Amino acid sequence: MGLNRWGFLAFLVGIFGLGVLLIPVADALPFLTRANLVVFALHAIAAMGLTLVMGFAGQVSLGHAAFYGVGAYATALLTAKLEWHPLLAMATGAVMAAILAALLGRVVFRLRGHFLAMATLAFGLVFYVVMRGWDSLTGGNQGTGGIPAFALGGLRLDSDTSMYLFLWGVLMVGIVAARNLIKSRPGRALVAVGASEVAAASVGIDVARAKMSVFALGAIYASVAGSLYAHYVTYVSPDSFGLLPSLRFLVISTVGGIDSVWGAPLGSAVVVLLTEGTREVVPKFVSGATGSYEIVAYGLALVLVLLFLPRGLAGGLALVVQRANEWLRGRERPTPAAVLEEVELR
Amino acid sequence: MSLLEVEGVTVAFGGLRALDGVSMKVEAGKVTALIGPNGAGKTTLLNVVSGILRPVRGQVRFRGRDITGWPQHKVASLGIARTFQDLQLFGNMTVREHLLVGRYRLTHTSLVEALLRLPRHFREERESRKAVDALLARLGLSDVADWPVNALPYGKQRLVGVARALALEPALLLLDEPTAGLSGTEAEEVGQLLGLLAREGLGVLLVEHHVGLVMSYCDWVVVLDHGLVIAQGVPEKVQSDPHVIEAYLGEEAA
Repeated sequence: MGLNRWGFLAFLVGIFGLGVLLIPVADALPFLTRANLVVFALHAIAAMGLTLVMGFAGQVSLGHAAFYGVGAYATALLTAKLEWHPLLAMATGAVMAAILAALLGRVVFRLRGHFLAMATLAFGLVFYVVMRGWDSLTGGNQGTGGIPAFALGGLRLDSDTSMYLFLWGVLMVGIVAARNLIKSRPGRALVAVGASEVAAASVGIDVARAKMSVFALGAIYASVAGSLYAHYVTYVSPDSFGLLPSLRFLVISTVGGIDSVWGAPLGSAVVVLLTEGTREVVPKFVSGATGSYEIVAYGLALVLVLLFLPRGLAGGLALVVQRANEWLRGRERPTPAAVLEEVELR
Repeated sequence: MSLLEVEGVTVAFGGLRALDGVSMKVEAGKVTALIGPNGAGKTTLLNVVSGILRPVRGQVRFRGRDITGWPQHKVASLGIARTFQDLQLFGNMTVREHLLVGRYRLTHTSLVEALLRLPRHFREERESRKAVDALLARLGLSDVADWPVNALPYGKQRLVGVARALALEPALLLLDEPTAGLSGTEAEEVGQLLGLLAREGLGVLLVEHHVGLVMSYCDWVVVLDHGLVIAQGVPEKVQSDPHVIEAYLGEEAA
């Protein structure tokens, strides 16, 4: 994104305010409820981790929901059964997710392209099967419940509104952290690895280590979101962390735009509206329609975005803003980005 | 002890010997050219030195230290920088960012320090930006510093490749055809820059086709053909070597 530091901060405050303003009107808007706002924020935080993995290190993951699950199960088991403090449980989950991601990264980052995608897919499925099969610990298919609401000092997140406000704050922190990362030595190294591994290594970057660290960081985002999800729903079962949720994160990141820190929230908004939209609209036309037909809508959205906005909605919006800017200023001289576009057209 | 010593290096791709017992040296403060017909093994030799390829036999020593088979990033962290024939620039990163990435081995800010914006991040960013500004000015890239590299004309892109390598503050610079696709004047400028850098103590090894450049700016020439060193010496001597003429023009001409 071409925003400088102050532009970025102003934008951040503006987006935060917009999110808060949504609370009183959410129930009146089509396809939106306060509960949906919570889902939107949870997905945005988790998908942000995937955006880092895909956008800033060029690695695809089809098993992201497993890390979401690590956080959720860690919180579920540690707070409900052992009565740990929610923050401690969340931190434990995050550390476990990071370690798991680093270990997985060691193995799968020897692979490339389709093989890498297949390996992460397999990892996600293994996690799902283990959570389902390990009855004594996870409650198997039935899952495990009795998770208390998230509490921190005097703060207790026991309503949709309080949960959403808290998540919205966490999301902003996540965006700032991601932005801090991009504008720094390790972040630039990750972008370099995504663009050319051989050139990144030629300046001294340990490519395998860089990939492992971004994979671990992405897993931490997912795990934190998973922990908060567990507190919110008070009950977790394997189906929330299988293949479909992993695909949903992938669609969120891609539709939103993987090279912008704003991509995940944008993509999450689209996916939540699509999910609710199809759930409400489709039964009106097809009587007795059941099943996860929202996946059709995801697929459609993905194809449309990849065809017309390869840099995702965030990339598309950035282009619109830039065009508006040029139009206002009368384009005295070509900007680098305009030249870039002409070069690409050639 | 030379800056770089390559001794008996052999690389085989299947049955093909891309390099066959190649021995050569690069001295600090000297520009050494690696020439030879297409397919002679010039780029292969650069790849062996920079750690992309592992030789089946032979040794690569840097300042007397055996670095044969070291991974690429470790070789780079010793101060061996390189450019690529096909540039391998970082997509839409700006020129300035390329040079900042180039300083990776000279900085140490970790992921956690960057996320939390701890003091080391700010100190190193400040130092790096200062050093990068100086390098940009020296190479005449200041006015395009904030352009994405893929918006630059080809000649400038090649220069960014060299600038990124120089940002490592290397002791040894490996250049793979730095003047390919450049105009006569641009090539001349690169030659002058290399001469200047060598005088400051940098050892340069370049793969080059531009004969004029080799003759006027290189101190030593190594000629490869079919993976073998067929001649080496000062430019004037190599130019008249019958083996070299034969390799370039075919047997009848010799």
